[in-house]
Order: sequence, then structure tokens, then C-alpha cells
Amino acid sequence: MTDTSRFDGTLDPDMLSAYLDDELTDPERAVVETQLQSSAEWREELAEVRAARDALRGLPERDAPAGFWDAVHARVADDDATDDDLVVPVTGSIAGSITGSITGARSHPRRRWAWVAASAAAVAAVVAVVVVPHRHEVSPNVAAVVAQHGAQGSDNGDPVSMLAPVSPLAGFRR
Amino acid sequence: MTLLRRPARVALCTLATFAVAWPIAVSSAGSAESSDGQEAARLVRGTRDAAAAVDFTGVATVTWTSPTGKQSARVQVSDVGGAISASAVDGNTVVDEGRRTYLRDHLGWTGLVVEPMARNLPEPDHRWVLSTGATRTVAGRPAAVVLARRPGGDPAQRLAVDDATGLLLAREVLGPDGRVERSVRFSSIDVGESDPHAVSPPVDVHSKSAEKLTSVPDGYRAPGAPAGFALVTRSRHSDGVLLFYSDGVFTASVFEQQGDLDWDALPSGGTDTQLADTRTRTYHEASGDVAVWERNGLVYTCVTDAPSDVFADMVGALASDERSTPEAVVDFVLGPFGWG
Repeated sequence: MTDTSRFDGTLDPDMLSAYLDDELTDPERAVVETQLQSSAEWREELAEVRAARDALRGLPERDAPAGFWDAVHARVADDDATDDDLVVPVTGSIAGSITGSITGARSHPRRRWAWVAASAAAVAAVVAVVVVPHRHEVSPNVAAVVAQHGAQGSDNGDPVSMLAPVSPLAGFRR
Repeated sequence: MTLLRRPARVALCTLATFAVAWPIAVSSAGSAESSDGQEAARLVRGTRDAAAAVDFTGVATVTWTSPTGKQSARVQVSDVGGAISASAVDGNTVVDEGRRTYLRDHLGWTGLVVEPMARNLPEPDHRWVLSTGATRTVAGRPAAVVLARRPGGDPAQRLAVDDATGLLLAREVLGPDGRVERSVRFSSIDVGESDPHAVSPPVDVHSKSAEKLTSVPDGYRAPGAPAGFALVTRSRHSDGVLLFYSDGVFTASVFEQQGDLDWDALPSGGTDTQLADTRTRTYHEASGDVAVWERNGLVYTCVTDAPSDVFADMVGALASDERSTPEAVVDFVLGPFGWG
């Protein structure tokens, strides 16, 4: 929730973001809208926050490659077991063989390769997210498309009959 | 040589006269019809420029039909030096000064995106049969009536064009059943009068220009001629591609965005329907009918001022993704070259 006391006349992108996300109370919303009506600077800031938010929401979400998290979990479990082995004394032949195995895993060359593999997997995941085209959810700004149509239609037809119907554009409310 | 008897000569003369006169009559009728169509087309073209040449102020009534019934709004319209402003009572204000258009809503002014100019706009009689009708009086001024008829003869649009100035005084869009689906009509207008209270364009609001496209970006579609419309401009916006179509009388905008449609985020007031076996959310607004749907990874938002049957054909053509091979070839070949 947003604190109305923050409305001291200075720009607050967080406030605008909350406004766009419909997270403000009615009094807070009224204050923000009053500010927007009276200040071109606030409106430009709102447009920028909206653009940034849309761009952020437009970023694709992508699952890690198959087996990636299993490998990570296995590695973490592996390391946990190794750490446990360091503090918990293990006796017996079986325990001795396990300890020996884990100790072997902690040898520097193998550890280095493990880090290289994990890093490579992480890089691959990032590349997959950035490079591979993804689909994301789209919520068209229908009112904007309608207004844009009226404006473009006025350039290519009778301007009065294309512009006059734009002004009662009150039907669209999210 | 055998002499014909009198009745036979009369019949022969009648036949000969008819044979000579018929083509002339048909030709004259066709010529008159063609001449009337040309006059109608001239009047329609004239409305595009008249507003820029004449100052006026008046009140227009806008009507449209929504699922809840007939809707109407009164709009104050003024033209001062070619800058047109329209303010709805309890609504928004739109100001157009040529290429730039501004919208004022409850949040203040917004500069709409400046679109590329269309250079290959179809002629008014490109698709529709135009004719003139009996003169009528609108807002106390004599006006010529221009009809655009469907192929079957039913009118799809009726215009009233001011005799003195060429201004459009009334526009009615008619459904296939003959009912008025949408209209703009001046109830009063003072021509030559500059409204001292006309809304001026805002000085501190900037407008961005859309990037003109000469080819279709990967992942988007731009059918060249869906349902009788012609693609006249296409532009890149920050969040999609906007296509603008015209059939000479009506226009349509199609906004394409890549992704999956978030149905829950759409504005309220729409109706779910099936068009071309595609789930579609439709809206009926003063500006026109709107449809939103998704297909093959693209989300489409289509708005048009055309009648409902033309709207359905347009959406059906886009949603069904039906392009003939020649259309596909033409789109592919002409794609890299200039559009508008």
C-alpha cells in the first residue's frame, strides 16, 4: 500500500507504478490523477513508467533447460553430503568408501570442472532466455487502437466523421 | 424486287427504329449512371478537403448501437484554420491539426502516434456503387445525398454533403437490414464562423512518429486485400505493427502483437463470439466495431467504421488466414517495395 504522505509534489515513479497496477486506494488515486491533470511532467513520467513496465512485462519467461535444476539439486546435495562428511565422523568400511569417494570429489580438478559445468549451464540458460524467441501474454490497449484509427482515418477520409466519434470514447474502461 | 405490303413495312420500320434507338438509349442510361457515379465520387473526395478550407462551428450528434441498445452523444465540433476539435459532453476532447492529433481524457492530454501518409488510397468507387439521391436539408442547409450501395443494391452508407461548401453534414452507416448502425449528424452548424472557445492543440505535449514499414517484419502478417479492403499503410509501433486498410469508403485498422492474448485483461463491455471459427471479443463503440482475437501466436485488434456485415467479412478474412496463392505471391513480391 502506498503512503499518501509521499505526495509532496516530487515525482515518484513507484507511486505511478502502483497507480498503473491499480494498487492505490481511492484517495491516493484521486491525488495522483489530480497531479497528472495539472502537470505535463507527471504525465510524461507516467508514460515512461508505463513503457518501462510494459517492456518489463514483455520480457519472455523461460524454463531452464531440461535436467538443469536436477543437476543443480544433485550438485547441492552432493556438496551438502560432502560438508556433512566434514563435520560428522563416519566409521566403518562402507562409510569409509563413501568418505573416500566424496573426498575424491573435492579434489581441485573435479571441483573446477563442476564449477565450469554449472557456469556453462547458467550461461546457456541466460542465452536461451535472451536469444530464443518466446511468447508472452499480451493485453492490447483497445482504446488506444480505436483512437489511433480515428486519427489516421481523418487523414485519409472525412475528418469530422472520423474524429467526432473518438471524443465519446467512454466505453473502454479496464 | 418484291414490294412489301403496308403492315409489313410498318413492322419493319418499327423494328429498325427500335434496333437503332435501343443501343443509344442503353448507352445514354449507362452514361447517365456513370456520370452520376462520378459526381458522387467527386462529392466524397471533396469532403476530405473541405474541412481544411472552411472554418465552422457546430454541434453534432453521434449515435451507435451497443448490446445494451442505441447510444448517442452530443459533440461540439469546431474548425479554426484547419485545426478541428471535437468535444463530447462528459467525454473526451480530440484535436487534429493535420498530421498531429491530440486526445484529452480524464488524465490530461496525450499525443497520438503520427502515422505515415497513405499514397495509394482507393477511389470511393473502388468497391462500392456510388450514386446521388434527392437533396435533403441538414442543420438548415441544403445537402446532396450520396449513397454507397452493396453489390445487391442495398445502401451501406448515406452521406449528406453541404451544397455550398462540400462539408460533410451527415454520415449514416447502414446495416444489411437497412437500419442505421452508426451515424454522425450536425444538428446545427455555422459556416464561416470561428469558434472563439474552440479547443487549441496543447503546446507541451509531444507526439511520436510510427516507423513506416516497407516490408512485413518476421512473425507478423499483412494481407494485401482482405475482404475487399486494400492495405494502404503499415507501421511499426513499440509494441506491435499497425496496418491501415481502406476500401475507398470505409477504413479499418489492424494492430498485431506477438504473444498470447490475456483475455482477462481486456476492457469490460465486450461480447465473446465466434468469427471464422475463432474466439473473438467484440465491442461496439461510437468510432466503429472492434474485434480482438489471437491466431498462430499473433494477437489482433481490428477496428473499422464499416457496417456489421463488412466488419464480419473483414475479421473473418483475417482470422481464417485464407489467402489465395496469387495473393500470397503478390504480398511476397511487393512486400519489400514502398507502401504509402
